[in-house]
Amino acid sequence: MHIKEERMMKRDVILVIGAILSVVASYMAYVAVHPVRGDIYFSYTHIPAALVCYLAFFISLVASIMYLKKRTRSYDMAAEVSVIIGLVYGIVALISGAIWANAAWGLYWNWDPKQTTTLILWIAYAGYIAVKYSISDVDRRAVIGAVYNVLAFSLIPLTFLSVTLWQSLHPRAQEITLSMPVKVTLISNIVAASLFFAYLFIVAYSLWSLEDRVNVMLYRHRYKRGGA
Amino acid sequence: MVYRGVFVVAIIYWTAILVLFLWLSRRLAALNARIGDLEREVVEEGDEDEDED
Repeated sequence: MHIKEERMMKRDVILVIGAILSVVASYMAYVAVHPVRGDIYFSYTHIPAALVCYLAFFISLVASIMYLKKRTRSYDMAAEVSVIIGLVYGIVALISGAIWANAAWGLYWNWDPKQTTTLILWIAYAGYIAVKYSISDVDRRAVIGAVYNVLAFSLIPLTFLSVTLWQSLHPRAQEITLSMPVKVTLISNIVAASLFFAYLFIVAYSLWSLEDRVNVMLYRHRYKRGGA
Repeated sequence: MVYRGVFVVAIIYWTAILVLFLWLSRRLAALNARIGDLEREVVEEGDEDEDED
């Protein structure tokens, strides 16, 4: 009980810090800092969403590798939860990217290598969830899911390299020059988004493991009743 | 045009986070209801056992 309360406290501290930082970062983004180019405003939501999406997929990769190594169910749950949250951030990155593309390049969807590879990545991870929920055997589902996850992650280097491998309108990271206030605002937004992700991850992971325990208890209880 | 887009993107971003919060809260509420049912079942079963004794 004490440990649970302590964990809840830490979780809430993350949420409070994330919310305060979000308010400050939003104030900096939309009120205090005036970038030279108007479309820089898009970066305050698009870049944090995309980076958190990659972070979530990276965490799920680590969790899947750990599952394949140790066969502990908690790692499988962590991988699943991380992918679900990553998919939400991913769709936000895709939609915000399309709206930014319309403002900067004149079209929502250009089949630009960056857009296309990111969409493929998103579909691959949506496939991970579909594969996991289509297998009823818990252990088999976890193993197949973990292997699929490791394979799906190989698409992430491709999305990063897409801007150098093919002709792309999307700027490379090293090509972007930002003024110091814009940089600070962007970093604040990225940190705030990461804190929100951490909070959502902890909540979802706790919920998943609790659901799992309840299901096991329910199964044992009904089995005992049926057997008696 | 750009500012309308920025506003739409900000709305989409915060709505997505809010939807995640709400979804997790609903799942938690459903889980609480399930635990309640399970506890009720256990109590009823205990009462039945006592009656048999």
